[in-house]
Amino acid sequence: MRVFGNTPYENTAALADIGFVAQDTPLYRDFTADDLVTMGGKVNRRWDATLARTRLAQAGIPPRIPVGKLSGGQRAQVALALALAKRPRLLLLDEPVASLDPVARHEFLRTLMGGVAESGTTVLLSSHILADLEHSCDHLVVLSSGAVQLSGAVEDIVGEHRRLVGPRHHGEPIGGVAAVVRARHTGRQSTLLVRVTGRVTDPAWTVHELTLEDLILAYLSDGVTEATHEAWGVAA
Amino acid sequence: MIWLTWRQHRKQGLYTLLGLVALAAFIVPTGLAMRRDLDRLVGQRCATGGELCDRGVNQFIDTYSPLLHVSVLLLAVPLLFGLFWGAPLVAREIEQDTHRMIWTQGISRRHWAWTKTGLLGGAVAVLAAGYGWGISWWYAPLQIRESRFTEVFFDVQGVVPVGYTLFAVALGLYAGTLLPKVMSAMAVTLPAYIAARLAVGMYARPASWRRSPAASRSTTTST
Repeated sequence: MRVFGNTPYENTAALADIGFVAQDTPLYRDFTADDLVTMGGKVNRRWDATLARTRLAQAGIPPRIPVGKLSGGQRAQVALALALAKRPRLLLLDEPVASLDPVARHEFLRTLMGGVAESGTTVLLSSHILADLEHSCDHLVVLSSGAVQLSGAVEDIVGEHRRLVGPRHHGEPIGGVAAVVRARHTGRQSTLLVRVTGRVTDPAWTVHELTLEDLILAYLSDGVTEATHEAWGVAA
Repeated sequence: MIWLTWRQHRKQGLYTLLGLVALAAFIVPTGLAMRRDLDRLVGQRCATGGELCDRGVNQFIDTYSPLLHVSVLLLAVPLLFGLFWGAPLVAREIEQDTHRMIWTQGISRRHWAWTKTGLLGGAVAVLAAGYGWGISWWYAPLQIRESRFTEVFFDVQGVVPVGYTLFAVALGLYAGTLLPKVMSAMAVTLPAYIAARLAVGMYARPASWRRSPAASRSTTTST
């Protein structure tokens, strides 16, 4: 694996370019936010303490209270401020908002967007909260059971997928449809999630636009469960 | 890194110092009392020799022999360092997930590990040296009863506790990297240290030590 053309393993130069916020935003709980900013200055060659302090002040974080006593949302803000203070070229966020309430989540993403808009930092963010992705991401990779299901620019992905509702479908080609991604059948009707190349002209099919959330759900809904069926000893 | 190590472990250092101060509160008064009595009962009387000297020696021994039993408790001191300084060093970081935070800052893991073990190991060595020196001072008058080269008494004074303490810390550190949970690391360090300690006592000491202390006493008290 390479980051900006360099191998990141045991490479402090690569570490300096990467900011990382781990899941559940671990921090030394007995340190105050102010201590953590000082710490960042000691363990990083490039460190913008003023940026960290400004962000923490904006987020309303008290400087002299141990971070273990702050709320989850406030801790996430502290972790993000620390990651941004490295002025990284790449910011990795592992489920940063998973455990936050909606208000804290919104605040977090707002701070994130504000922080990276100025510097042009690349952000790689993993999340299960689909609604947030549409507003914050340019590029999307959908993973399920360890495999890439879908990858592309968010606009393209939304643009090239449609839901078709029409008569029972038996696999015959439909004009304007590149591939059927998912199909659900009931009696005489079929609902298809398709990737289109142009307009679907066949009048038998009703064409619906999809939101990103619907689309991701469709891709994720029937993940591979053979292994767990086997593990539970029941038929798939 | 130095600041970080200090900030992270200062509370632990304070508790350790308090523990050593409590120990000093015991050994300083008893040590001074022993010296006073040794001078009064033995030093002054035995300049000329005779029955008065023998009685003085016996009286001193009768009064202060119980302290020799107390010193057996001091064998546990290095173990405490291993449990509370060694075991949590890496285990706590991993247990609380903070290794993901600190190991992704701008310093390498190697740098982190060397600085931490170096500084904490150094601090532990200094504390243990102070402790060993204190016990040597305290123990000196008791040599009239028990040679400092007998088992137990050899193990609690001078540079010997420094070695044991560093060993215990290294053992705790190793246990903490194998079992990255503080409690599990401590639970392993405890019996492993005791086992190593017994093995040293039983197999790595000269056989003469296991004979009665009286045999070696005659050779050393004269010095």
